[in-house]
Amino acid sequence: MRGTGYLLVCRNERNFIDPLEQVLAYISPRLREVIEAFADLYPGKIQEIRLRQDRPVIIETEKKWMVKSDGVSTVHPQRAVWTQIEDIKKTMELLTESSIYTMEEELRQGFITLPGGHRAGLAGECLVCEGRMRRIKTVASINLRIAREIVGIGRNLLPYLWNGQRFCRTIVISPPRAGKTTLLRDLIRAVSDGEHQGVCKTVGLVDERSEIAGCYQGNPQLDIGLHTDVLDGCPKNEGIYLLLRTMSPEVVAVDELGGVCEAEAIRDLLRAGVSVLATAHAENIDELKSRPVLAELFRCGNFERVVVLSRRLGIGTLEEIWNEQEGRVLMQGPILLEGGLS
Amino acid sequence: MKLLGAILVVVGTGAGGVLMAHAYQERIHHLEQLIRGLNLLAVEIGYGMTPLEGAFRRVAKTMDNGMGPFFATVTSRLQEKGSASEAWRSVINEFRPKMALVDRDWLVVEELTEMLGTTDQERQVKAVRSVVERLQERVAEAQTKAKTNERILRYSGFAVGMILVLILY
Repeated sequence: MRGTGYLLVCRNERNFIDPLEQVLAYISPRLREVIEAFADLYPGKIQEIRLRQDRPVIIETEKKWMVKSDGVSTVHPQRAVWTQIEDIKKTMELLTESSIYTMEEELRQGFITLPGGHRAGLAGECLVCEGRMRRIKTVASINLRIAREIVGIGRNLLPYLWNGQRFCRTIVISPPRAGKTTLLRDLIRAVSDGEHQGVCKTVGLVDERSEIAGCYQGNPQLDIGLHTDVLDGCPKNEGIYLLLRTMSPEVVAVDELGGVCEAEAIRDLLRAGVSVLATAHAENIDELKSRPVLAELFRCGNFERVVVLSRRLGIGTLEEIWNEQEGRVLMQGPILLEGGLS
Repeated sequence: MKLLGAILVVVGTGAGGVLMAHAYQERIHHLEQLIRGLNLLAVEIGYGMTPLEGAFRRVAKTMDNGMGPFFATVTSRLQEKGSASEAWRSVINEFRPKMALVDRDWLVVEELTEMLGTTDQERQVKAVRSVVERLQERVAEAQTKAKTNERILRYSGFAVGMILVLILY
């Protein structure tokens, strides 16, 4: 397993693995020390770490920070720690286990998923063949995004998402980095484990980018419930049909809906009597309905509940829960969900 | 007593010559093992898409005592350092004094340092194969040298011994 030695050190007595420590294991040792020093000053706040060649290291919490070698923030780029080409090389070696050739699909997609569901986004020079991007040839920017598992963040929402013993067809919408995936993960867990009135549902999860279950070699690293089957790294539309044929799910969960094929697969799913729990990028319901594919799904009444998130009070701010069937608001925000980052 | 001393001198210098001649054979054996190991590595990368650590581990298992420890140490260094270039470099430095390869052989082996694990599959295989070809040239050169020098060293060991005996008498 990648970085096993370091990860063992990260485990404390209660078998908890600090997500930041998991990610730091993949960063070049020189920068790791700096980020660790910053993390001591802002514990639990780091969301993203951006390494751009020949530019300062940027650490993102609610704000963007440049840091000096002692971990203290600075507004002067000249005083900040810069990412050198060796740091990018070393980090890539750690991310790929010194075997870039085994990651060609990841380099084509532009990201590498790490154990724990964390993601390293990549950018740089691309190799293009016959007008199509084959893969990133030379990596110059790495964005390490730390996945945070917040068990219980969706607990207060559950009563609004059920209709008797049936889980309503639900879509969670928000702009990027507002806690959509974290909420989706927790709702999957809660539905699967029967947190609402003890009704356990068999959930099929299509985790195209390995962000929800954080699978490593097909095995979920994050808590997604006892009755959840995961198709890891599978395109959503294919995954939905595959789950439907093979795993008899009662609820199918997918992240970031948007493609035409996916919408068609969702429609087939609903025709088969299976409920759906999905997310999509949108600021609000009007914006959601302005996207042709999703608007079509809405017109046919395919979604019964819309959960709207924002970052107004911090990551994980609930704006509203909308009942699409009755055309009314079930829960009005802004409310910072339990465990959200204020 | 003098006769015994003379025999000991001749046997000693003769054995020295034989040992020096044996180093030529050992170098050829190590080079051939290295070529075999690298060929296996190319297969693991090219067909198995095996990550380097696993690939080196498999290679180490198929090697004898000559090059087996070399590849096994690369595996453990990769685990420790997480960097193929650092692992390869440090293992070369560690094994340089222990093996029969000469500096020019090591120069060829060192060519892999910056390439290992850092390129796509095709270029990895090409890089390994290119080093293999260069090592094969080194084997041919080593064999020629062995042919010419081995016999000379063996005989010259005994000859030196006899000359010494004659001088001392």
